[in-house]
This record gives sequence, structure tokens and C-alpha cells, in this order.
Amino acid sequence: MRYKFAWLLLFTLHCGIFAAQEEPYVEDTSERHALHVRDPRSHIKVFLPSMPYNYVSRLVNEGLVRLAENDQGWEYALATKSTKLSPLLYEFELRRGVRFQDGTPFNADSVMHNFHYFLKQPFNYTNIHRSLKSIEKISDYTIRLHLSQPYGMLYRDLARIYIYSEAYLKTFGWKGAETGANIKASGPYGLGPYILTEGMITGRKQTPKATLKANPYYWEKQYPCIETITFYTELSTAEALRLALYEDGGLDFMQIPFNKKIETMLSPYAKLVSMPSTHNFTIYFNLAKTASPVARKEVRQALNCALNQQSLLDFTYKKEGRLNPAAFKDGACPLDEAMIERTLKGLELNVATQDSLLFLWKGIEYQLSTYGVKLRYRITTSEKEIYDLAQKNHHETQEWDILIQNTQDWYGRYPWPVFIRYQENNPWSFVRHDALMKSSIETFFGLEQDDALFHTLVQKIQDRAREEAYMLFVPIPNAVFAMNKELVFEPLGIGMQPFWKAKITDRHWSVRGDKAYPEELQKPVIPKRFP
Amino acid sequence: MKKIPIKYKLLLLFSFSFIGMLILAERTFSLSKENIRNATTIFENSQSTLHLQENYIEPTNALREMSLSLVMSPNEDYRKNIEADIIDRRARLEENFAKLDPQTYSAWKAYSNSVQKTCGYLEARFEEAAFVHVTSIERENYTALLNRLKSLQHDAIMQTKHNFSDIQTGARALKYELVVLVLLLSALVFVAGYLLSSHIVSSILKLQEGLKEFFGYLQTKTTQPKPIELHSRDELEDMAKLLNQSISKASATITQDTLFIEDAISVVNDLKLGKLSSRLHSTAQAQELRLLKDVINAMIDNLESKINEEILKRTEQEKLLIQQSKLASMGEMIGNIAHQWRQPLGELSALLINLQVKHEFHDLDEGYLLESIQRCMKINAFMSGTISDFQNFFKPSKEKEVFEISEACERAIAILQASLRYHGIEFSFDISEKMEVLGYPNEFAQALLNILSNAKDVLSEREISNPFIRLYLKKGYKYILIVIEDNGGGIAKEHMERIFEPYFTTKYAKQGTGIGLYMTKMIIENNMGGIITVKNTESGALFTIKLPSVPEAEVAAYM
Ligand SMILES: Nc1ncnc2c1ncn2[C@@H]1O[C@H](COP(=O)(O)OP(=O)(O)O)[C@@H](O)[C@H]1O
Ligand SMILES: [Mg+2]
Repeated sequence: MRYKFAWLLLFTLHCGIFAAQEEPYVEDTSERHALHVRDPRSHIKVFLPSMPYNYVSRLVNEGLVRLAENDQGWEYALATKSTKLSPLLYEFELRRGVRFQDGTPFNADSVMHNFHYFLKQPFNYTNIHRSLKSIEKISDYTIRLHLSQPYGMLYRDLARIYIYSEAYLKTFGWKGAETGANIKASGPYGLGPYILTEGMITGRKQTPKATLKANPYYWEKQYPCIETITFYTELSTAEALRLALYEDGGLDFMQIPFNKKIETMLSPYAKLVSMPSTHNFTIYFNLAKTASPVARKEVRQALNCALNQQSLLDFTYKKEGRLNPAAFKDGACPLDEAMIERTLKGLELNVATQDSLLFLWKGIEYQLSTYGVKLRYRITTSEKEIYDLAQKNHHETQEWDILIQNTQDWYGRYPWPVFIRYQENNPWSFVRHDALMKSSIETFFGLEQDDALFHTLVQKIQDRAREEAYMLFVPIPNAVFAMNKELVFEPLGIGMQPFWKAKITDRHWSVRGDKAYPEELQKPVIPKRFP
Repeated sequence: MKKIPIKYKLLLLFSFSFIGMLILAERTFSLSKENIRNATTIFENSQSTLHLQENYIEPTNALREMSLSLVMSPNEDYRKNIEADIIDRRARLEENFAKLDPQTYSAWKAYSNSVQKTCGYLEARFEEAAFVHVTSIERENYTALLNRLKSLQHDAIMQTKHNFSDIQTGARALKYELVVLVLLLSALVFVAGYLLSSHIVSSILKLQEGLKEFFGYLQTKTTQPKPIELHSRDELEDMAKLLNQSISKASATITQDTLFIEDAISVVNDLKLGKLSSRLHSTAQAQELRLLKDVINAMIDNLESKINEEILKRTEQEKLLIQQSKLASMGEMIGNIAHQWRQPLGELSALLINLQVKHEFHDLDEGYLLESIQRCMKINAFMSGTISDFQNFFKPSKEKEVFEISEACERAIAILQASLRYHGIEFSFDISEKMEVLGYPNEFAQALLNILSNAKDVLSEREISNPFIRLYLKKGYKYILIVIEDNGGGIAKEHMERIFEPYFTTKYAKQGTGIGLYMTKMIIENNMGGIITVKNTESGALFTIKLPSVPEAEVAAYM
């Protein structure tokens, strides 16, 4: 009798829970509550550990054009119009009424001045330094660019050739080098929607924290909507997750590991957002190390063949990604199974990796271990160290046989961030003596994106890279974010996050005051998947 | 009171036991029937436990496993199959659970819905939610359902336990009931049985006592048994009466037969004493004894006539033997006389030759003649003495007299002396004291002579060097031993047994008669109550004669 009563109680309780949790997930209603006017208190905290300089520089600086999620991959920024007068001559109309962050006006002279500095010390990771010949001022708001050869990547490169203020250029010059981003000091030096007020970030050096304040002179008057952005660069993943998921006001935006999706979704303060990206895990073979087994093409091929891309995607990526077109298709391996086994048996490879990418290595290692391949890791927490290991390899062959780099799509849905790894003499490539590849890439530079040949050539380069197995190809990851529930923002799957468009709601921690975050809002929000 | 046969008494006892058994059987049967009913309930309970396990718990677990697999499935292809399985299983379980109580059914419903929800999330490609759901709400509902099922199972098991303990108590109660019943009934039967049996047994004991006494009487025939006193009013009393009759009859017969036997014993004793005229006169009761009486009387008659006949025959034979012996002795005696007379005869002829020579030479004077006559007379007297010696020797003694053994010995020796000397036999005769016996001296001397002459025969015949014969006497308290020993080589083993038989001889060449030792044995053993034995020594034979010595007083009486 007593039991029956207890059961009844338990049962009703369950029904209650069941009824209450009939729909435990709530819709994301933040957009309805978005503040459209910038509140001076508005503040978000962002953690982007991979290539943070890339993200920051695109917020602080601006060029004639900027990357965009559209078909051509860019949009006008400081320019308003351009005309291709000939394959080697482009004319740009400049935006009027634009001011530098320090309030000084922007005009053709600013561009001329900046390009003079650029042409003296250009960045070397595209072909711009070989293609751009000169710049010519036509009027106060018109300039012309003269090329030495047709250059299909011109606009994307222009999106990275930021216009710095006179003050900055005087002090720091252009100094593009391998990583480009060029914010050597805080100050109102740029034209971007945000001013770097604290810290500094370049490709090779950064402070752990950078503070960005809204640029009051920004030419798009409705932006930015948020006053302050704090950028973290060196948090550990665990700490960042703790801040983002379990501390209101800890972190508003971060890219999360795939296996933290559920926690993120269930978190009281964060929502889960995921989308296809054009980022990639760049896995180099040390082609410069002649003693390395991976110096042999068959070994590289065998390693590529040994990977089951779908399994990696299903289990390691937790389905957050898509198959890599550069990887061998099923059954397309040039080696037979016996050959693969023979080649891989007893293989021992040194792997240099960032700790945040170990999850991927566990997946790869699991698959390779069935062939008897042993991986030895050199683990680092710093992306900079990985860059160093890669760059030093040009001068002095490093120990690593395989090196992984988490590449954010810094070029905006364009194959170059991939092809850069195949270009002879590029600081980010170890490919040598591949005449076919060399000529293909040279041709590639000359082709416009809408050229009929463009696609065929891209295919050709990809095929060549696959055949030579220049990389260990793995699936292309989705971009998965933990985002504060009260942050209204549509992130991009490329190496740029347009935070100037981000809004917060009136319930956001930075504007809510002392009030606690309402209980009902702490319910899990149905994840958002783009597209 | 009327007579009740033992048969009915026992029947009564058996009826008691039988009724008791019937009662016990009835109780046991009814109780075991109840137990079977309980056991059946237990079986049904365990069936229902199994049923729950097979039709609810296991399929529910399987469903849970499927939904987990579904969530784990990496892609649609995997999911499709599992989803189909889940739908199928849910439908089947729905059917099953509909049969259970509403509480369990609603628990099932909750779980079933949550499984559906999980599927729904996956269909909407909301995998994270599916995972969270499957690990939280679905799990909770699953646990609740399982707990509900387990509690049902637990109830069933408790029921089983309860029934089992019922059976146990039932069995215990049955045990006690049976124990009490058994004790009661056995006590009843025991008391009845004890009374009856003690009644019968005491009768039997009385009978036994009477019989024992009677058989004791039959053995010892001392005290006449008393009649058995038994009033048990049953077959035993009849038996006792019969026994009493038999006893009195038997004791009468026994008294008569005892008398008869005593008579018979006295007759036999008479026969032992040689009174062959005695006959059995009293009559026995027993037919066999009467027959025995006739047989004994006839036998005695027959014996008497036979003995008389035999005695007659024997006397004749004896006489013949004695005659023969005498004749034999005579022959020997003549040899002995010849030896005795050889010297005096030679002396006599020498005297006569001397007389003749003296006369021829006229040297015969009166003195010498007289002296010669005197000497002749002496020789003559000696020779005549010898003859009378022999005569006396052979004269049978008239009646028993006490005589000196040494004297008799000397007489025998005297007869043999010359012959022994002739054969060069050394003879020693050692006698230290006077010994007297009762008997016939002549016959005894003759017996002795027979032994001595046999020794002499052996010694001379076998030409033994340094031959000797030794005779000595020993006196004991009751007996006198006379030992005669020689060194003639002894008696052949095969003859030892037979030398005392009449006509046994080894001296065929020398015309032995074989009577000598037979006679000797007769004289010593039959006439003088002694014993003669023989054995071989190292060198020869040794004869021992054992005679009862005559006590001093007796000797005096005979004088
Ligand atoms: N002293 C003895 N030594 C050896 N043999 C003896 C002696 N005395 C008796 N015998 C044996 O006993 C036999 C029987 O003796 P006996 O009865 O006197 O008859 P007989 O002298 O006529 O043979 C003799 O033939 C002899 O063989
Ligand atoms: Mg003889």
C-alpha cells in the first residue's frame, strides 16, 4: 500500500516533469529584444584563439573593399565603385565624408600615401607584391591601380590592404610580412568600425587581451551597435568554455570544440550556433625533411588513403563539417590495400600540434593505428609556436614530419588560403620542384573568379595536390560557436566576424544592471544552424 | 466370565493400530492436498515473474538499447533501420502494457512518448537535443518504468515468498499435528498392547516356569513338579491343564522307570562281580525299557552259558599248556641235572677207580675204604639232594603263602648254576634286604628260571664275549621290583610285542617251545597280581617284575 502511494507520487511527479519539459527548448527570441541604439554600457567579450589578429584587424581597419558573404566574396568599403579599365588598370571611386578614427578626413591622398608605404613593404603571402605596379591619383576621390600582370585576386588582396592614418604609418610603416595583420599599437590609427584602445595584435605577437571601442566617426552611421568589445587571445579552452557557458558576462562569443556542443546548448547563458565554414585544418607534410618517411610520395598517399573521411566527420567532427574535395574519394586511392599496409606498417611520425587540435589527432591516430602507424606529439598551447615551427623549417629542417595549423578562412571563400600551401617559394609552402603546380598557380593568379577557366584550374590544382598528397586532407569543419543568448549576431563561416553589426538585447549582462539573468531565459535555446 | 481366545485379543489390538493408521493417513492426505494447492500458487507466481521478465522488462531494455543506438548512429542510413525496429517494438510493447494496471501503463506511456520524442528530435536533425533527451528524460522515464516493472516483479516474488512461508507454516503445523496424532495413537495402542501382551506373556511365563520345573524334574528326578496354576481364560489355560495332566502322568512313569533302572544297575553290578545268575525282575513303564529288560536278561543268559563254555575250554587249554610247559621244563631240567651231576659223577668214578687201583695193588685198607664209602655217600647225598631239589621245584605250590623272594631266587639259581658256569656266564645276584611276597614260591621260582634260562640261551647261542646276567631286587613302598638284565643283544624290535604270546619262539633249531615267557607272565600277573615288562638296554634285554609287597602286618597274619 505504502509502495503504491509512493509510486503514484513518483508517477505524478514524472508526468509533471514531462508536461513541464514537454518542450524544454525555447526559440531564440533575442532578435525581438535587440537594442538598435548603441548603449554606452554595451560591451561584449570575444575569444577567438585561432588567428585573432585576422579578426581584430578586420574590425579595426578597413580597405577599399572588405570581405563579405556574397557571391563575389567582397563588398565595397572605402571605395564605392570600381572599373576595370583594362586587365592591368583599375579605377576606384572613393567614399566621401569618411574620417579616420582620429577624426582626420579620408581621401585619395590617404590612399596614395598608404599604398606608397605598402609598395615599399608589401605582404608576401599572395601575389600582390608581384602584380601591383603603381597607384595613381585621378581626383580627390578617384584613384587608379596599375598592375604589372593580370591579377585575379586583386579585390581580395585589397580587402587586406588596410588604410592606416598618417600617424601610424610614420611610426610603424607597412611591414606586411607572412601574416599581414598590422596592428602594432593601440590607437585611433585605422578606418574600421572599432578603435583598438588597449593591447596590440600582429601575426607574430599579441597581448592576451585587446579592447576595442566603437569608432564614433565610422562612415556607416548605424554601426557599430556595441560600444566595447574585449578580445581575448590566450585563454585555455576549458577556461573559455567555463566563462562562456556558466558565467553570465564571462564570454559572449567563442568558437567551441565539436564535443562541447551539448553543454553549450544546455548552458544557461549561451546558445549554440553552427554553420559551414571555409576554414580548414592544414596538415603539412615536412617535404623539406628528406629523411622523413613523408618525403616519399607513397607514404603520403598511403596516409591519405588510410583515413576514412566519413568516420572522421561522423565521430571526430561530431558531424560538424563536410567532406574535403581535396581528399581521395572512396576507392580512388592510387595504392592497393596491401601496398598501404606495407607502406604504413611500423611507421613512426612526429606530429606538431596545438593542444586544441588534439581531438582531431585522436581520431586520425585511431584510424592510422590499425595500420600500425605510431604518432609522437609535440604539443603546444600557442599558435605562434606552430607558426614558428613552420617558418623555421625553411631555414633549418625541423624535426616534425607532420604539422597542423588551424587556418581560418582569412581570404573569404576563395581557394587561395589552400593553394598557398602549394606555391613554390611561398613562406607557407614546402612544395618544391613541381613545375606543373607552379605553372598552374601562376595561371591561377591571372584568372578572374568569374572566368570560365577558373573553375577548371582550381580543379586541376586540387587534383595535383591530391595526387602528390602534399597535405594530409581531412574534412572541412563547420564553425561552431557559443554565443551569449542576448547577443544578436549572425556570425560568418569565414575569417571575419562583422561585430559592428552585432547587437545586444536589453537583457544583456552589460546593460541589465544588477538584475539577475531571468530564470526562464536560462532554458536551452534551440541551436541555430546556418545556412 | 466367558472365554476370550487370544486371536480376538490380538484382533482388538490390530484394530486399534489400524484405526490409528487410518486417521493418520486421512490427515496426511488432506494436508498434502493443501500443500499441492500452495505449491501450484507458487509456480503460478514464478510464472508471472518470468512473464514480466520476458514480455516487459527485456523488451523494454531492448527498446532502450535501440533508442540509444539511434542517438549514437552517425547517419541516416543507420537510423532508418533502427527507427523501423523501434516503431515495431513500441507497437508490440504497447499491446503488452495495455494488459497491465493503469499505473504501469501510464509509466509505459511516459517512456514510450519520450522514445518518440527522441526519434522526433533526430528526425528534426536536432541531434544534441536527442542526446540530451535520451540521457535525461527518456532515461528517467525508462528508469521509472523499469522500477515499476521491478516492483511488480517484486510483488510477485513477495507473493511467492508469502505462499512459500504459508506452505512452510502449513508443513510445520502438519508436522506437529502428525507428531501429536502419532504420539496419541501410539500411546493408545501401546497401552492396549501392553495390557494384552502382559496378560498373555504372564500366562506364557507361568507355563514356562511350570515347564522349566518339569524339565528340571525330568533331568534330576528329585522333586516332583507342582501343577501349573493358570486361569487366563484362554488357550493358554487349556494348554496349562494339558501340561499338568502330562506332567503327572510323566512323573508316575518316571518313578517306575527309575525303579526299573536302579534294578538294572544292580543287575549289571552283579554281572561285574561275576554273579551271572542275577536277573532283572522289576518292570518298567516305558516300552523301550521293557524291551531292554528282556534283551538284558536274554543277554545275561547267553553270556552266562558262553562264559561257562569258555571257562571250560580255557581250563582244558591251560591244562595242556601247563603240561607242555612242564614237559619243556623237564627237558631243560634234564640238561641242568646233567650239568649238576657231571662233577659228582666224575668224582664218584675217580673214587671208584682209586678203590679199584688200591684193591689191585692191595693197598686198599679199611680206613681208605671207609673214607671212600664215606665220600661216596656224601656225593650220593648231594646228587640225591639235587634230584629232590628238582622235584621240589616242580612240585606245584599247594596254596598261596608268604615267602622270601631271595630264597626263591636262590632256588632258581641253584638249578641253573652249573649250566651258567659251563657256558662261562658271569652271574651276579644282588640282594640287600629281606623281601617277602604273597604267592606261590615254586611257581615264582619257575617263572624266574624261565627268564634266566632265556638269557642263558641268548648268551650261549649268540656267543657273546664276557656274557653276564645280573639279577637285583629293589624294594619300594608298595612294590618290589625284580630286575633281570643280560648283555645278549636284546630282543628284535618286531618280536618285542609278541614274546609273551604262547608258542612264540625264535629258537626253531634248538626246539624252542614259546611257552616259557607266556607261563611266566601267567604266574606273575594272574597268580601273584604283579606286572612283568621287558625292554632292550644298550647291550641286551632287561626284564622287570613288579610285585605288590606284603605289608608287615599282613605277613604276620599269614604266619
Ligand atoms: N633274555 C632274552 N634275550 C633275547 N631273547 C629272549 C630273551 N628271553 C626270551 N627271548 C626270546 O623270547 C622267546 C620266547 O621265549 P620263551 O617263551 O621262553 O620260549 P623259548 O625259550 O622256548 O623260545 C625266545 O625264543 C627268545 O627269542
Ligand atoms: Mg624259554
